[in-house]
Amino acid sequence: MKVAVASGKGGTGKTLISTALALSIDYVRFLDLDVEEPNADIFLKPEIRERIPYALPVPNINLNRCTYCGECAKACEFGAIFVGPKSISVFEKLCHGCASCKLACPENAITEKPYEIGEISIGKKGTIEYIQGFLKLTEALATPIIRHMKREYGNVSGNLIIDAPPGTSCPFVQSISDTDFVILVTEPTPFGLSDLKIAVNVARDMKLNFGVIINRSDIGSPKIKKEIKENGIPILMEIPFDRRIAEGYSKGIPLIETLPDYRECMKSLWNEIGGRL
Amino acid sequence: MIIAVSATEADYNSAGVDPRFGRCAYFITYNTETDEWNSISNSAREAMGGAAIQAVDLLKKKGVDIIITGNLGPNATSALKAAGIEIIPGVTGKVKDAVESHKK
Repeated sequence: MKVAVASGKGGTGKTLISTALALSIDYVRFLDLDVEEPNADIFLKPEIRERIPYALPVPNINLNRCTYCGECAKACEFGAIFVGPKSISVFEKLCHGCASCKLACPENAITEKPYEIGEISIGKKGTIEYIQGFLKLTEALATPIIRHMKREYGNVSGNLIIDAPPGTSCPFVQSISDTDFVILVTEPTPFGLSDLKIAVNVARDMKLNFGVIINRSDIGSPKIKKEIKENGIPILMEIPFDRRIAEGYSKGIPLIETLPDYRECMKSLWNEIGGRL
Repeated sequence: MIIAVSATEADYNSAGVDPRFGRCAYFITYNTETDEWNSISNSAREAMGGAAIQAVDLLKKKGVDIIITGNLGPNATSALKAAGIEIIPGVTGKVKDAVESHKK
């Protein structure tokens, strides 16, 4: 079973839930796809045995062949190439690695070269296989590395848990695609609800099964829970606010160690999700 | 010589200098030889990414020699340099005044 833990709004408790789930069930592969700020390793404490650089193919211009005709810049959807009267500049940070420029070049002056934007770390802790994507600082494109990780490590017959990035744009869509179930973690705040609605619409559009966990469920606005119910969004679990959870989290202690009762809750949640499918 | 200014609106009489370069609303151009004013809607404004580079391309096609604007990023700066367009950054106020003070 492949389950993604996502949210919409950031800081609602994705990593809290995803790591608690992973530690409560046996034999699971954990993909940390929050590549701009991966931090599930703080709670899972895996031993990293391999680090693989991740690079995008970016254009390499052969200046002996280039006539500065500008066809490559015209083909580029992302403004990653600028052609001056007698010069050509490639802006690697804007390049999505699609190779359109290479195909458009009438002089065959473009080949591709690797441009490193991140790193994938592979490790293990007990029966949890941990794979983390990391996007280098100043790089802007999270989606390609997420797509690559889904293709390379996302196809398992056993259990897969994905810690998705916040937001509801491309990295989120890429992270939750092809999963069996999406857990949307929210909080009873106007921002939590607003972003949840967007996330729910995306999940519905993608025809994915999903349910909601309300974190810090007893503080904030009770109206929000009502609205979630009225929108026909299934509530899987409510986690009341507890200062001990926050204190443990700040020290890298997983939820199920701070409050061991949650181990059984997470196990039954996993089984319940399996039952819903 | 053609001077371009990133502008908040199309009318050169009332427009202010748009502090953004790549995603400014309009470019107002002034031709020092013909004393002609023109405005171009910045088509790069809606770009998903690389707006600045597409904006430079627009200026290059209009034969602009100098750009007066507010803030520029590193991508815009290097594209403008590659296009041989002189950059006058950090300008605020009215487009007309900005052009007047840089005419010479």
